[in-house]
Amino acid sequence: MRKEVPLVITFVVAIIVMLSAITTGPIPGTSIAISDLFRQHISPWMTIVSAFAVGLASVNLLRVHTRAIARKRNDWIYSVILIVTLAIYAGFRTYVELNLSNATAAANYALIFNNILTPLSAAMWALLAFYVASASYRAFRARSAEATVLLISAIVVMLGAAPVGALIWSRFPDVQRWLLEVPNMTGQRGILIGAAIGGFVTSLRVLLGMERGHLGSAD
Amino acid sequence: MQISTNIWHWFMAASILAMFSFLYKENPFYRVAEHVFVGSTAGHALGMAIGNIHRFGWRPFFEQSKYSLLIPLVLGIMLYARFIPKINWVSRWPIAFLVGVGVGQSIYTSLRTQVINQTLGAMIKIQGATLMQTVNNLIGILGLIAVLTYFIFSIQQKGVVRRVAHGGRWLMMVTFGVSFGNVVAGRISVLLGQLQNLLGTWLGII
Repeated sequence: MRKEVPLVITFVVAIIVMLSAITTGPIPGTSIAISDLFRQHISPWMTIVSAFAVGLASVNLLRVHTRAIARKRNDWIYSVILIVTLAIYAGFRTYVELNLSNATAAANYALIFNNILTPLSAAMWALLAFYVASASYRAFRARSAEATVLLISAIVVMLGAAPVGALIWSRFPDVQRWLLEVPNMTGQRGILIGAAIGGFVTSLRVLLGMERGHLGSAD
Repeated sequence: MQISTNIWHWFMAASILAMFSFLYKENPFYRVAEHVFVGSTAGHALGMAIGNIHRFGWRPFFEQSKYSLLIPLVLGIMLYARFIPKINWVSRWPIAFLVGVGVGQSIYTSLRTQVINQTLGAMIKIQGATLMQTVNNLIGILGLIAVLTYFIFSIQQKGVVRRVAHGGRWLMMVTFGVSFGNVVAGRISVLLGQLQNLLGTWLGII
């Protein structure tokens, strides 16, 4: 019951989703098409259960930080800031979602989204540009011929994308384009096919109940 | 220079500067920005999730009498059973449902879009209009065979197979280099966007 039911759920749902993509017309003896079953039931159900899963993640985050505050751990004040921010954004966004016709609320939410969350996210992303450069130096120092190839192709792509590259050598953009369109595309294609075959095999193992990691430990 | 008087531009500038202050060293401004970032992202996602439950579950269930929606609503609530040790196994059911959808989609899409479509894309005529095109086509076909040979783990890689796989590894190094170069270039462009916000929108220098 504890292990078997989840395995049956995974199997049945996976078969319905898979068949919905490759079959047409109703199931023999019924008026229901598998693709309709997927579109009208499984797909919206997935959206709802996923939404509950996001709520679960938030509850976990809250548990970790409320525990830090309750035990007055080091830097617990930052946990207070996190919880207050989470409450403001969650409350405001929920109000906007439940009152979609209220344009003023949506516009006000856009202010805190565009002027706080977006710059924080973009700045965090940009900050990593500095660290990627230094980390790459340590990781890709031309220790072997292969690492040198990696380093050279990275440098050529960066120079080809920046205006300064064309000033150094006018053919840099052409070489960059060739690298992107020929060797890069071939390598990407090979990696994609290899990864897809690996993903397919893993999916089959899950479907057949041979892979049960997602169900947690046995109890 | 014309400094903005818009309070929201000041919030924007404070957010960016607090994040960039990490370049000096870890400091309280950065820690505040970091926690605001995590809190606001989680809060935004939670609000969206509540909206989705309301729009796709609650309202159709009560207003349009779609009683089949009771199943995902109950499955969703079952996820929270993991906080109650005695019945935490109940949370496996909704997880099994989510994994089932993912597995069903990945079996079809990985085969269709990644294996079949990519293989079709590699089936090209070797002879091109120019010598360069022919060389490119040869790299495309032989390179793909070499990279795929690298991923063959069911036979021991020795002799010709080893040499071909080695060629595939070289090609993958070029691919990783190109991907890395693109990532760095992309992040630098985001950095320039932030500097534009600071120097243009906020300080009015540019």
